[in-house]
Amino acid sequence: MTSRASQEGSASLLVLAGLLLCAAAAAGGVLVIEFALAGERRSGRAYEARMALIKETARVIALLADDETPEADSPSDEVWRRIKEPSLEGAEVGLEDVSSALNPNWAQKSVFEKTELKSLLKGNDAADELQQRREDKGFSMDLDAAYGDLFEESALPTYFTAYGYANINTTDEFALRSLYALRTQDAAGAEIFHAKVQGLLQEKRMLTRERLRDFLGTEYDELFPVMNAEPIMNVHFMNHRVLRELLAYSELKVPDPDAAAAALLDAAGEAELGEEELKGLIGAPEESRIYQYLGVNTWFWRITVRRGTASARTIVARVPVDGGEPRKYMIVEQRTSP
Amino acid sequence: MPRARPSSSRANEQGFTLIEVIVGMAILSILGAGAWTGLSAALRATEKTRSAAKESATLIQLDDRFRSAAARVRPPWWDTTLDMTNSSGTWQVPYLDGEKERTLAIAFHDGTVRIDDGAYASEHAPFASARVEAMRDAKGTVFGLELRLKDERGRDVSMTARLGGFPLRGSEAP
Repeated sequence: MTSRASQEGSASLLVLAGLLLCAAAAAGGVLVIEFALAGERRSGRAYEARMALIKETARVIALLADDETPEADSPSDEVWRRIKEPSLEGAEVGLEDVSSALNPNWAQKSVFEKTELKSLLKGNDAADELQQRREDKGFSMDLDAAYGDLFEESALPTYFTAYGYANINTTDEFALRSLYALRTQDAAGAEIFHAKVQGLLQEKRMLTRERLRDFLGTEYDELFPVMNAEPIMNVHFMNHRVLRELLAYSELKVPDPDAAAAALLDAAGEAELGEEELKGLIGAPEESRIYQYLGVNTWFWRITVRRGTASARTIVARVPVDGGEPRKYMIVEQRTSP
Repeated sequence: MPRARPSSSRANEQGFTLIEVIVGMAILSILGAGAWTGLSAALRATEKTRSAAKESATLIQLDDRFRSAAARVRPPWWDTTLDMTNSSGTWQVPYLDGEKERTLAIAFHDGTVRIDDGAYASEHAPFASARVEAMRDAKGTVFGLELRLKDERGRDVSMTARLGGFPLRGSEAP
């Protein structure tokens, strides 16, 4: 009896031990799988959250493209009302004109030397230094790191932008040469192009958007749309101080800068201005470069979509097109978080 | 002298016959073999699942890291010249966080993919091979990165990630 009983006990222990081993192995396996699945679920949730923000961003871009008054952008456009009603529940949508300011990568030094905008610079040599630095170090998106020491505190974020096309009529000739070389990788071609730009400046001629393709020649596809002949700032969104200073810039031949500034600010605050209305209010001769600085279109927008802790920040560029063609927008920068 | 004990009934009660022992051992052997086979199969299955889950977790982590690192590469909207360099299995991509001098480094050495943004380096293993390629649009502008991997079982895995900056070229919207 005793020996049989102990044998039966051993068998039970063996089975029990086997079962425990199985259970431990299974539990270990389940833990590993659960860990992997949790990671996958977390990753999936973050991806879905990002995609929802990007979809909302695409909706805003579609609203910009569907503007019923494509010839001008202003706070009275439908998009401003529609972004207050996002299709993504709980989302907050922001829209901001980021191009209606001076771009230190392209700005001519005479704009600083011959207007009161020079007070934004630190010292009398800062305009020369700005020009030289672009030659030495190239252009930069990080304005503060590249040019912060040349400008008065808080001037860069208030009056300047890194998002703005290089209008051939308002961009520094050496910056145009560098930009040509950068885009085409053709240093000799850049010298020839520079000579053509100098020719325009000496003859005091302006390049119109109609003559742009001929002027850029075979390199048009490489240079456009970064180089173009479109007015760079939208009077509906630009800084009032910059507007007044540009109108007062004597080389731009605005007959009564103060009256023009007051009229423009009044009119732009009330309704959307068209290009012809703008010219009427400024009153400068047709060949004045003021119409290369001031316009009624926004070229770069920042779209921000936030929901909870997630956010998407997108910069979209409007590509200039010939009259009658539908608007074209391209995303040039996108950041999502987390 | 005490009498010898009768053997028949006592033997049945206190011991086993040889046949009983053999049959018992045979049954135990069959049960043991069955249990061992079952246990072994269960352990193998668990190990296989665990290994697959680990591989999957490694790929998910690498994919997350690769995408988030690539999204931090932001060439300026005017510069279409972005190109990466490859030196001895290390690919360097400029314009990390928009700065030309800062680079994102993706390296493959000794079965390990290493993604280094200068502040933090993550390692992902094991892989048999890995290489990084630039994704270009029809005009040749780089808009993303592709990480091509071969796992230890020789299977191909491809991961793609868009950059955070997209330079403008031409008038055709993508």
